[in-house]
Amino acid sequence: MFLQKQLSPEAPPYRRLRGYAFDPSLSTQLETAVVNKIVFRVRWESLLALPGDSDPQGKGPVGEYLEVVDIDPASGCLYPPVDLNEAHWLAQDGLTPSEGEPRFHQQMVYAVAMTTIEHFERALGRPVLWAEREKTRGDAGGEEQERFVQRLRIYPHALREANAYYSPQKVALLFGYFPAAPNNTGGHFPGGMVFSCLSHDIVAHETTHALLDSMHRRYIEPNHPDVRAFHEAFADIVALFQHFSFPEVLRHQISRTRGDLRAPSLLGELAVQFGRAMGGYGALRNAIGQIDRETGQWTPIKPDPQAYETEMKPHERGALLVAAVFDAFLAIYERRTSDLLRIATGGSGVLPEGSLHPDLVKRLAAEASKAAGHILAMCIRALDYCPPIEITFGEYLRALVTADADLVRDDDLGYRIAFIEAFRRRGLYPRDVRTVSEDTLHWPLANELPEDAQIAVNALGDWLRGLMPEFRYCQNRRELFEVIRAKRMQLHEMIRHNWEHVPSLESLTGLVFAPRTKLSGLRLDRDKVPRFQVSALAAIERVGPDGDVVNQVLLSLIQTRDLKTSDGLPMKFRGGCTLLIDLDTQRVRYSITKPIRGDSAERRLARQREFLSGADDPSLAGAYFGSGANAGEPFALLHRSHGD
Amino acid sequence: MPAAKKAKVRIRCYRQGFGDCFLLSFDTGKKRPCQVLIDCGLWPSGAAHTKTMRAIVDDVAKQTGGTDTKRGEIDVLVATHEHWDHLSGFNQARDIFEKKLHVRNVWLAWTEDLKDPLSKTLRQEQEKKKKAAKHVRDKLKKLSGSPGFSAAGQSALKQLDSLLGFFGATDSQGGVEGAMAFIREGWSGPNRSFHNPGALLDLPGVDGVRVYVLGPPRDRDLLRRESSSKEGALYELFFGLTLEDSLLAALGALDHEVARFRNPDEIGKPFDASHRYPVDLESAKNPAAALPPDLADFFNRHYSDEPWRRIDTDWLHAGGALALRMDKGINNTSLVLAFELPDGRVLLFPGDAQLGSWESWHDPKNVWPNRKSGGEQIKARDLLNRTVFYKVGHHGSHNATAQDLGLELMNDPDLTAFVPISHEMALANDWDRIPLTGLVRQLRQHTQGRVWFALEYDKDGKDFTNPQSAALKKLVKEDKPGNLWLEFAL
Repeated sequence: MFLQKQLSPEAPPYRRLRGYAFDPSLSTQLETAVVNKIVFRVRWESLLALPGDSDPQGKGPVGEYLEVVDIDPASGCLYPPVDLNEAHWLAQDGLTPSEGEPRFHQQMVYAVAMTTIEHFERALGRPVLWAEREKTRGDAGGEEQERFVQRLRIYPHALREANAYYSPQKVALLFGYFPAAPNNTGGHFPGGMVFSCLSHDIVAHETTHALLDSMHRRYIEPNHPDVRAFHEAFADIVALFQHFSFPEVLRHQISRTRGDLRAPSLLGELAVQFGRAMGGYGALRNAIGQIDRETGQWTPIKPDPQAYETEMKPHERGALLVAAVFDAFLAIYERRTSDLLRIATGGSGVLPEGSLHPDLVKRLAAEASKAAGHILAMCIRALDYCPPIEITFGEYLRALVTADADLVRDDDLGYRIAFIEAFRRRGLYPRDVRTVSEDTLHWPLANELPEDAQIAVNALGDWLRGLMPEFRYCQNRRELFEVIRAKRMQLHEMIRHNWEHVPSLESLTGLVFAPRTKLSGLRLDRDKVPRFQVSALAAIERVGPDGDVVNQVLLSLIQTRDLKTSDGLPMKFRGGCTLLIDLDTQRVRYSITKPIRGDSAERRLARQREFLSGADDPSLAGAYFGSGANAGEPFALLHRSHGD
Repeated sequence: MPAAKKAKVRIRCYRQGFGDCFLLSFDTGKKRPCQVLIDCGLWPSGAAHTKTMRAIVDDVAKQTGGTDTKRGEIDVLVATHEHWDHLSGFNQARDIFEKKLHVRNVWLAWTEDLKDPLSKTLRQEQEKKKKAAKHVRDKLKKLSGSPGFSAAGQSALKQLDSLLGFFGATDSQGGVEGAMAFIREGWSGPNRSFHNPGALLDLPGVDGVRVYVLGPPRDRDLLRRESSSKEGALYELFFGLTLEDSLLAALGALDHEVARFRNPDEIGKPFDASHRYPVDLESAKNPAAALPPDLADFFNRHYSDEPWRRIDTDWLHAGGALALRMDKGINNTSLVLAFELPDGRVLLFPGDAQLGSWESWHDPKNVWPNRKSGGEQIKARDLLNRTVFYKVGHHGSHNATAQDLGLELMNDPDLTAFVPISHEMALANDWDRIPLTGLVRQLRQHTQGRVWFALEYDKDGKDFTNPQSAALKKLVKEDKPGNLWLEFAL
């Protein structure tokens, strides 16, 4: 991407920074201490204030994407920012992992967050832009605020509680620290401080929230039980699969479990120290099994197809999705390694007692790492094929299948089948397909359009083709942001003027464009034209492993109706549509839509009203603060009550 | 409907709004009935509220036989739990209670017994939470004008204010604690008793009425549980002592007890003094005054120059969650009573018990002997089956009426429900889900429409109104024109 190309050819490919693979508690246990300290290889950026910079990088670390500001308001102090360019640190992979050294904490959050960002950029093939700054009320008259947010702000010691969250309002991650619960047996001493910013899983999880929010702003609106659950699950998935990108850890755990990733291992656990420090028995969450509270025994989680109908709490519901993805991964891993096991065992495939040969461990680890990398990339790429509002698990499965099939036509390793099977076993499939198979799950190709509609789309396609160089040759992320923003506005004008008399485009998108449309609560502009928003515009240029090329433009439209809930409270009912336009053929390839009117919209509206009536929120907070709970910080309460 | 028969009990439900006060008059066969007063409170507080409560207590005195020269007699006073909307009257009308009323027996939950060791521990934990919540509230209030104060801060402050209101924090008579102390110690000579689940009590002077004690559970886990979830116990632990300590330490309000063993300046701070460079976020002029120039420059550039991203008060938002936990803990200490009339019909008064308590009633250990010797033992399930009057828990919020273990079991065809609520008062505090529309719908189904509200509400598509049909209106006597109470005769 353009950022690396600007570096001088002598610049190193990455900066080596030490950190915890999991969290500090595992360093106090002999068995895991050896692998817990790892070196993150973070894509190089200078972190230097270069002459002429108006917005210099530097200590903090403050880089291209991140800005670590270590202020601790509860303690009334600032911890000095680390300078990773100091010779000492450059020469020895950064600071030594230490709980008592705030500068190491800064290094750790930087390393983990950058790693996560890199995974996203690699999968998406385009630079990450943070969610834009929200318009604040009351400053309509003044100069227009800058909307671009150059860096995600990270506060490693913002809170004095067992909590960490992403704040969409501040475009910041806030991490908490807290004294451990006095009665437990985890790898930390009772009453000792536990830092959420030192947990790889928590940092990766929160960073992912920010990344997901930057792509799909409307996914923070809880209008379907799946939406919040999806945010949580997706963040967990990214954190989990990053475990597999640490070779030392992977080899160690594969050797310990003798290659059986279904056995209990650190790889499938999330936030071990945090879970124990809160007085629990094990990790905060676990993808494959859990410790039974009564017996203290580890038991694998059995897929329960009913759970999707009954489990409504975001984390618990999200756990279903995490388990499904992890299960798909295990199936793929087993398929990729069955030949290795047969070779190693003279054809029987049954491993003898005792340790595995180190070479076999290495090969198994390589396969696990490769499969995990593929899965992570698939999960991230699928985001481009999701509707812009109200995501459900079933739709995500369809996005996964479609995104992958577009890029890798020949599914010889059965990745898509593995996903479909794992989702089906948990009841996570769309309710509107007749059978659950690859061809029915694949988003339907858009129908051939009537002539008037195709003319409008052609005009759009021409314009989009002309746009590509502008996207491609931006000098930096700020410029890219501004270009996209300007083009979104132009696009809005084009659609507003050219689509209003083309009914087939209304049925294609599920939205309404004709002036004076009668639809209760629909927002109209001054000229009585229905309002809509262009919420996303991005180029998707990817080359698959077999040389298949994807050359598409993604654009998302959102429309809103102001209605009332069954309790008489104001609610926003949205319709939305993600259009994927193939630039080579200038045809609409997919229209992934949530209609704003019609039968399906009415059904969705009825369901949404039921959901919003609160019967699903069993907490006391729900009783008192119902719809108004935690204005402005959607993730704070969510993570607080579950101790994320 | 058994119409002509003489009523066994009259239930006077006072209509103050968001709060409980019930006077039950049981037929003794003699001239004077047995009078039971359950709770006497109204949330929030204010001059108008005081006036209402005083009128109610005056009415109680009159009903119980009080005159200008004689005190009214309450046979049993029940105070379910320590919340303002159940106890405020004992402060607001204390002089009336003292001068015009005499109380013979006081029934309280075991959680109010100062000598009970578990109750003592719970009380201490609550105290610490309450203290932390109050300090957090004060601090938030102080900071509410500062640049980093966000909508989330406002919302946390509002939550704290309203929840602390349940303790009557602004009251000159010591809030709920003062009220409970008065109930424990006021008047001369009443018998005071503390009750455990599983107990069976007699009503003084009444033959054949049995009172079953269903809650509060003697189980810390259940006491803390607000909903039927698994997560309760796990979460609560870190909110035990230590988190409050570290919050209090940051607010400079730590207990001497805790501070005695450690340096109070260090408690709760995550790093050594050598790493700490003080900034004074509350200073409007120059918070970075004490920083060396390079750090001051960093601070200004990356923190204070962008007020919209500041986090000055975000750590205090935990206070709202803290107050909620505290509130939940108290709700579950409600004394839950089921009054069984001689003919087997049951009146259920669950206080504000939440789901954890409801679940505990069905503990296999909770069984009571049958009236007939040799008859099958009585379980909570039987009592719910025979319930004909249900005082809806916690003003109709959804987590204070269990489904499968509660409402679904109340299938007596004569079931009547009363919701001690004014939705308007709830709305004033943004509690737009009290009562919950869905629950009201279910109640109406189970009672065939026999649901009454303390104060009615009929706006924005919400229908919290009392039955209008002549047949149903007959069931209730209204106070006209004072509108002070509704009375059911069963």
